Amino acid sequence: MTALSSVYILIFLPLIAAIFCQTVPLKKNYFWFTFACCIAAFLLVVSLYPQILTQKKISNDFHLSLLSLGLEFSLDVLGYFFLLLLIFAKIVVLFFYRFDVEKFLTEKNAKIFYSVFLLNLFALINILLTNNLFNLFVFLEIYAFTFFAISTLSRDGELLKISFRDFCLNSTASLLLLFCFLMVHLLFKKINFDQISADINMFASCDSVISLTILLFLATAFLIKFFPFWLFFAKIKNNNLVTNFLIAESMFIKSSVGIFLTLKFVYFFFGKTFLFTTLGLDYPLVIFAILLIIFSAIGVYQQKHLQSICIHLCLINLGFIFAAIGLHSLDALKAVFFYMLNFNLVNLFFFVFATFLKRRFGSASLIKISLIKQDHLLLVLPLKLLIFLAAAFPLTPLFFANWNMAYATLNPGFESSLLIALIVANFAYADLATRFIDAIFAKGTAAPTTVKLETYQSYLISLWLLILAICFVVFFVAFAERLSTNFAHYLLSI
Amino acid sequence: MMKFLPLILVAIPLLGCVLSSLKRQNFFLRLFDSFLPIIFFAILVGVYRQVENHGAFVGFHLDKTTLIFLFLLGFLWLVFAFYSQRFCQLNSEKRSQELKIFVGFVVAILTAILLGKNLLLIFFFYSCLILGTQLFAVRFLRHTEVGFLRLFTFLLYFESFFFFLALVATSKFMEGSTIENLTREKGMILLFLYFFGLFFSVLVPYFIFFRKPNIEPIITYVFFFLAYSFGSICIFVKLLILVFGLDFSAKILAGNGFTLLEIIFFFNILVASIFTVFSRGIKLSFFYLFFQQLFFVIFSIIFFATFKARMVYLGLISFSLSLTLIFFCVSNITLYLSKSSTKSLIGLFYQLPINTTLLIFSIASIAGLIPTIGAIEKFQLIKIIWQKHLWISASIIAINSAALMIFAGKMFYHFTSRLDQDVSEENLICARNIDFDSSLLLTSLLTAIIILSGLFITKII
Repeated sequence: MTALSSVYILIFLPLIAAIFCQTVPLKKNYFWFTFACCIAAFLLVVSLYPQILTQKKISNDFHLSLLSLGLEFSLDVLGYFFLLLLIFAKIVVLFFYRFDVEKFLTEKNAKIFYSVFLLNLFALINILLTNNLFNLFVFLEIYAFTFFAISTLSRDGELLKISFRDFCLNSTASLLLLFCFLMVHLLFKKINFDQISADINMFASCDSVISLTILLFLATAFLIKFFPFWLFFAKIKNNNLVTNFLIAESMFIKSSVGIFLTLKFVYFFFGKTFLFTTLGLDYPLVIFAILLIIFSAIGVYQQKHLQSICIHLCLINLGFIFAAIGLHSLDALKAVFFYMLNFNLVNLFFFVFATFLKRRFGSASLIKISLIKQDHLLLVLPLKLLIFLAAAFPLTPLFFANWNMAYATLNPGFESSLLIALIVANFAYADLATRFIDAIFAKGTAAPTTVKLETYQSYLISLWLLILAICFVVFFVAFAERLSTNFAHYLLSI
Repeated sequence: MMKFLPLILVAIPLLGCVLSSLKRQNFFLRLFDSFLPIIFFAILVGVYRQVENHGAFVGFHLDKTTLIFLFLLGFLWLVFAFYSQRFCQLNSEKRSQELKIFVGFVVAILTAILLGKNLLLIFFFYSCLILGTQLFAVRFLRHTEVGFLRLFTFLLYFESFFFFLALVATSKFMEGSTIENLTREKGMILLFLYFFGLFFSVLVPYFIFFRKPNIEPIITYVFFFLAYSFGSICIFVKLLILVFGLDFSAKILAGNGFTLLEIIFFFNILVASIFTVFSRGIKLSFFYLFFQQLFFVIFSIIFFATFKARMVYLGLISFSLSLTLIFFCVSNITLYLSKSSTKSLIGLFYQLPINTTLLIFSIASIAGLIPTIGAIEKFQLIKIIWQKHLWISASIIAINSAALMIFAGKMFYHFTSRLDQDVSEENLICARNIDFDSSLLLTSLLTAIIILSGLFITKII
């Protein structure tokens, strides 16, 4: 099987599976069918690793028309890395929240839910693979619709209101995106990322008002479309089980898509010369990142609820990613790679663990942690691993991320101001690790309870899946390092 | 086989951990456990010749400097193993077991740190040590002490970030270059980052805000001395010698850098001395004394690194031996006070003559009593201060020695004063049991002899 055919299978597999799921009665096997499809997609992505490493890009461009949908694609190092991460995160989320979601589903609804989930996966894969602005818009719309469709299954008035607000924001953002894409098409007659990135003076040479308008529209659209954290902040303690699923989808997968598109638009659309040399956006970006990190670090310090802590940890990560984009050096971009790993593996690990606490004890408060130590070893061990991950212990993804970030900031100049953010963030990590240890070893008064492992099967499998992925990064650090170097070199080579 | 000896050195304390965690009814297992420190020490003696003949080991960094630290660590483990026999008899099995496991863990990690060839590996083990220390603090200590220890361990985590930054900076500054080619400014940044990375948690006397800690002397010894100070100081000295080189360290430190450090230490030692002299309660006084001495030994190491490099070990050896003896004696005294009906230090000399004499002797040793190793350290310090006219350093030594003399005098006065009422027969038996206990006596006397043989030790170094 050639690389091209593998990518085409990857593109159309979820779509065909969604149709299959909708039309063929599978009784109680919808979940396993969806799960198998996700695994197959993941393995297909893994199988492309040698080609990506040698060719850096697998693409097929027919120069067809404005809308070629999945027929044209471009899989580069950036897209490959995000594909790996996001499909893996999708698998974990699907597996872990299976029982929570299925409580709300009849057999007929299950059919709809899983086919929508597969459509969502189809949209996600295509967002990462497409090389055309209008295709991107279409897939973003499919992604938004499917996400909204999934959120309706909660049957919770409050949650539906939030989902509707999210959908409205999405629509506004989509309109802004459409305006921008149309402007680019009308002004420059280009809709392909390769053509746009080939002309480095495209934005610099045009009217500055138009360039700035496009930039402003795109920034606003990305902010409200991919990072609407504030919407879910208020509802994070909601006891509706679907809430956690939706927050996980929104916080980890949707945000990662946002980061991917930010990177893509910075390097392949505007170009670093226009953004950082002509407009000098690196300074405001770094300052914004520092403020975001400090704000979130204070949040970590103040919060006692594990899910809220997790959101703040995600925000710290996002801050560092933005800062690294602002620094746009080799080490900074390597740091982006490791921060993304941390974002999608470690922070998801935190979130899954918090949801488990909520399910088991009715709250994800840190105080509840001491109750878990009486459980089975397989349940307790992930908790102890969290200490290493929270404290940015040597050889964890966060450690490598911090290492590269510190490396990038240790220069005379404005970069060094990021050291403040690094110190503040590590202050929060240290505090979190200390609180974790206190919570784990606090002398609890509750009577020991026994727990059936079968009850928490999905939790166990999801957590150990994440642990295995993290261990993979730790033990095959040379592999991760090589991929990160490729990732950074690729972005800088544009 | 010789190549694996360093690995065996790390494995022995870990084996001690495992043996301590087993519920040992078997006499031979218990005996084997007690002999582990002796085996450790014996291997070190064997390794000594190898290092003399062939230099460093492949895969590890085992040279003369490391060997000095390892001998010191081996000795501390040995005396602790003897001493803890008594501690285990008097405390619950679980508590003793946990303490022994922790000590085994600390010795294993410290051995790994000392043998580490790579700075990243040293940082990894140092982080393990911090984590282990916190687990120990949470499990082993009373709730009232946790507030202070929580802050302390939090600062340990936080300071390790500076160590991390120092590693990144080392990697960055030395890209395609050697340490000798670094500018003085870069060298200074590196050295200060390492310094903050290892001693940030003790640079401000925040302990004065915690007036309640009533930490057992043996816990203070294991927790603050063995797990934290010893490890940090060894890493710092190793860095000065092996990474920077003593000549380059001296070049970096000379001038403003040294003056800044002098001021920091002057302030810290002054505050700690005041609290040592004026605090009430034996546990609290010795708790502050520990911090005062820790500041002093760091100052002494930096001082020697700047002006007389080959004496850099002197402070650490004097500090380790004297502190060990002090805390063993204080531990015995507090044990007696907890068992007997009298809770006063007055007249204690007549009940615990050996312990009180050794305690006064060890305090006098760190104050500079001739011919102990402490006196040699002070003599060398004063000699350099006199030649270089370093008045802040002179004040530091004066404050340190004066505070120690006042403290020793105060103790001596209390111990030798006569009690109004007679001591009951029961208390006398208890005191005799503690004072003449073979394991305690042997441990304490051995340490005292080594402190006394200061001249001999200095000659070996």
